[in-house]
Amino acid sequence: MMRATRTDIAARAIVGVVSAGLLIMAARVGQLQLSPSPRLVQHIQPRTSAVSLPPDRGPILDRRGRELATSRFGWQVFIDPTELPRDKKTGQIKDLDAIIGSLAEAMGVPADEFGEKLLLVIAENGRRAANAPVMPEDGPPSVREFVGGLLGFKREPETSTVLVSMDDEDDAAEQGGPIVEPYKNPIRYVRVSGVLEKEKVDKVRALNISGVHLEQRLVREYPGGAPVAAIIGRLGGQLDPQSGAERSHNELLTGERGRVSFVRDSTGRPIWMNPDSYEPATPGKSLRLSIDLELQRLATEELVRGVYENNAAGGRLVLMDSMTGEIVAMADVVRHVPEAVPFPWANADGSMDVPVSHGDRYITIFEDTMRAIDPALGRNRCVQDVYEPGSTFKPFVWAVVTQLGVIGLEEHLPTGNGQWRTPYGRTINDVKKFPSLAWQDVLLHSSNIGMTQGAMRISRDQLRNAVLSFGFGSKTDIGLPAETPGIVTSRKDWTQWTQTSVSFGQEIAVTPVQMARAFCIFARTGPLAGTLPTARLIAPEYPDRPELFRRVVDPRAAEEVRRILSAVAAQMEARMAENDKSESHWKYAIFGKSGTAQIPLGKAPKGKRRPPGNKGYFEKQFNSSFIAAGPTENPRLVCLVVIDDPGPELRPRLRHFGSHTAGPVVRRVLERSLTYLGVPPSPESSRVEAPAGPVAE
Amino acid sequence: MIRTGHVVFLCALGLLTLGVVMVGSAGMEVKPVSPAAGAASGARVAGPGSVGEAVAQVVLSKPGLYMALAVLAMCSMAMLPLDRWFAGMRAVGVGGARSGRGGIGLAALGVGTLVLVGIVATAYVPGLSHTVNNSRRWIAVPGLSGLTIQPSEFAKWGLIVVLAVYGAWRAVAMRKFWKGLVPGLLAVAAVGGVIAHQDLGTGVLVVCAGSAVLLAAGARWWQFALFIPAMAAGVVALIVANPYRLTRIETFFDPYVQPRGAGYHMIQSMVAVSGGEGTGRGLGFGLQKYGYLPEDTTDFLFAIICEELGIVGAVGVIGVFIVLLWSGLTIVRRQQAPVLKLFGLGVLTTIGLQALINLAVVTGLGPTKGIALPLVSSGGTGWILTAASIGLLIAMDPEVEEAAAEEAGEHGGGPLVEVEAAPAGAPVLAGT
Repeated sequence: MMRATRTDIAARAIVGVVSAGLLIMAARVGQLQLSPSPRLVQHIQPRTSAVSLPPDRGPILDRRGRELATSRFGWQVFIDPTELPRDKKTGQIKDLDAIIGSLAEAMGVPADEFGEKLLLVIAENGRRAANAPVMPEDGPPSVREFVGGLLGFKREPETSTVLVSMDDEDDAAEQGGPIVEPYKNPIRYVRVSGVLEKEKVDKVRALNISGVHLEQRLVREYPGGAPVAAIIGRLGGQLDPQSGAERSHNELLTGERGRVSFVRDSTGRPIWMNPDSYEPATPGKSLRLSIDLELQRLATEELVRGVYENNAAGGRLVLMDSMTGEIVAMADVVRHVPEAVPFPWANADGSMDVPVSHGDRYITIFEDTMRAIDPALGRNRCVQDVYEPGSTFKPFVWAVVTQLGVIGLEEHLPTGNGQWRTPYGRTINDVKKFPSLAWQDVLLHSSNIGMTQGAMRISRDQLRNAVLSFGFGSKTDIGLPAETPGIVTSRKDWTQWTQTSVSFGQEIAVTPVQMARAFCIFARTGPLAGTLPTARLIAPEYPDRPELFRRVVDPRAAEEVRRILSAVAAQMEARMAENDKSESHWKYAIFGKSGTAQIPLGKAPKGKRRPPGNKGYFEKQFNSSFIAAGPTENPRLVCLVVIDDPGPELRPRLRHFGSHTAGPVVRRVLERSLTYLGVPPSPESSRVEAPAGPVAE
Repeated sequence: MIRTGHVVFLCALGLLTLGVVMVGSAGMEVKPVSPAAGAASGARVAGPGSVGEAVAQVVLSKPGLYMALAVLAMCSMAMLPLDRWFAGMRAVGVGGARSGRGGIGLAALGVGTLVLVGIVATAYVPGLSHTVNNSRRWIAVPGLSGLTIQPSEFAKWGLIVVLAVYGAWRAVAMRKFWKGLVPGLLAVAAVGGVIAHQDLGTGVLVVCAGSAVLLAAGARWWQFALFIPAMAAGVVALIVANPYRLTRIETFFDPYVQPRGAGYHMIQSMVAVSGGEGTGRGLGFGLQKYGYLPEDTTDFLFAIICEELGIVGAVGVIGVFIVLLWSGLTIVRRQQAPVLKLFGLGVLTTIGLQALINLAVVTGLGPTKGIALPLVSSGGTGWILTAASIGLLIAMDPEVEEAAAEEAGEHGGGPLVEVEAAPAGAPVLAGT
């Protein structure tokens, strides 16, 4: 059995060795599965692709829930030229003209608007196909298209878009699809329409042309329209917030992206989705503003009327709820003044190319290129631009002086028949000339001389701190981008001159919103009189800054101001009645103050300087404003109107003053707004007779 | 009473069943639906509606048909009365060569070698030749479109038969250098060389198995050892001659140099194996088969098994192979006829080595080679011929009651492994 034994030994040896080898393989499998080498781990990639889902953006509402900005889904049409029906023999696209024609009809778009673009792309694709050695006749649908079909939207490879629409951020890297070499693969996306109406979408769908696709996009719409555009702002093409509340409350509105991932094969085609691989997007929260769309609309209407009637370059309006500090309307109108010319700045050496002419009307509101593109992108001059309040500032200084008890209401001050020299030698003039005035009549007749003397009785720090406590010189933080804090002279530079100027509202710059808020001090009644609210542009359900009251002046001083300003408003009303008999009776009594200040020149352009002898103002051009609250017996609303640069023809007739230009606008806005709010008409007892004499400024 | 042959049969059947199921799983693909379906166009998985449909789809598939043919071939071969045919050989024993029948062995070797070389060469005949992946290993059967045959498979098993006959009939001469070893080795070199020209892996396998048969037949170790450098030189020459083989060897030592190029296949195979993470992704849930791992239904099917069935699946497959080998060894040892013993040894060596090389390649322990996992990797010719060879092995199992009783205890573990490895075996059996 010698040979048999040899075969057996060999067989046993071979089977033994092979078995041992197989066991090693089993161990190797275990090692690979349980602890693969770090180098191998680097090459283990998840075979999944993820698509991020854009969240719905929260709507912006007005205080009554009216929609000012909303998002919706819309469909737009795009064509994949490689999928268009082709003639089997020639390989050319069949009936292209017929396709373009029927599509144009269905979309209600002229055929040449997209036809030419489509033809160009088809030609380009032909060129690329000729260069490329292999062109897949009918390649697999890409991941993007599949997911687009599945979820109802598609990614857009081209970036050009006019629409404000929700686009996905480009995470093509995550796609893991086939790498597209430039200029080799055919163009497969030609957008041929914007977002279409539903009927048109249905028509396009009914055509059922292969290669013609609909893609869903989220579209931001602004039903609030032009009156609120500057407050709401807008989004850019990539849904980036660019201005207004859209920008300042972006985080609240945005929501969270969702995500869907799916297992894909090596060409990127989806195979399946795991049950936990879909995270829906979380829609953004809604933002309710304090704006009342109806009040905003009527305020804008009245402001526009005021600007045009006064041939003004612009106008600004803030309507504020005096109890809560909520801004219920805020308008900013700019009008093109054809005859206005640029101001002739002097050269660096002081020489003038063109002399300053008293006949010329200069441009006072500088060109806002962004506003020309879209009103929602323009400067919001109610928070971004300041003005000198002029006489409308006097009530604040008067209240401070009064509450400090340095002057009695009946104490008479010598006002020198309209001209008086300060101890440091500055000459002060009054429009209305009196030999002397009681302290309370200083405010009634808006005497600069009286205010100067009042302010001389208190220290500079006292006045300056009071000005700051009214909220001037600091931002209101109502939640609009690029707000300015205004200008209050620093403590170091606050001279006697400053003390005098500030007492009648010069050498201080404020924003309309700051001014309206400060005026709430006088509009609040009872124990709240003299307190300052926090200005808000959003409804009370967002308790970000709950401070509603901050005492600034004594209630009695505030009540006094209200009493005196009732007469000032009555004077203004009397003037209105003189002009137009139909505007002689008002349901609501109001109190208010006018102001007229020369418009500051602002900073000289680079390399230029102020003309010699100019004190830094457009000498014949004014910011005429009126600030009022009503109804007097229980004020609900504060209204400030600034008429920027009323027409020069008004000045010789002394019609450029705030009480002539801005006053009527305030009067009408308050009347209509209070009516709209259902406020009971004022009783006779709260009406005040206008004092005799000309209206003070 | 379960006989050793039954164990071998069940092992083979289990491996084939697993093969059909896994080839079906690895062959899954996603078919895109026509884009004309409208705006919401996309791809959908065209899959079966129910479990029954899925089973029917697998059973009625091409691999299902091949498996039926393979089982048929195995059963037919197993029923051959080999014992009776070769009963005389037992008595003749050592005296075979002296009684003048050594000439038969030499003649058989010569004629057989020529025939086998001719068979392999058919892959080069224009009109028959069928090229896949730039290699000419297949011939297309005229008249049957789509049916291809791998002639080297025939040569692989044919050489074992020829060498077994040669070894048995020239038993005495085998100890002699010129008269025994050299003619045998020449035959091995001729057939192996021609195969290696098409397919180095199979060539090396054939040479190894052939050498094993010659050694078992009585060739002297030291004489054989003289030829090892020559064989090695041949292999090296073949590697150097073809740049892609050289690249494969280089890649084997560091696949991560070109992870998207030469190293891609090996890395993806290891990624697939690794993807099982112990428990496996579950049958049908593998990811690498979706275009990431090339040759996933054939040479790299084991990677998909590891990915989908985890360590349990991998160890099950390996266990079944080990049981099959040891059961086969028992049969070979009990067999008395030298020609059958040598043939059985050749079959076991071929199957064992082929499995070992395949697993080494799949798990990244060997350079990438086109070698199938016997009875599992998709391949009609391979399945049928391997099953037929195993059928012959089963047929050798002598019907000696005591021997069966003696062995029964030794392989008690066989059926257990069987259950693990082929859970889906029942419906397939019913289908055949």
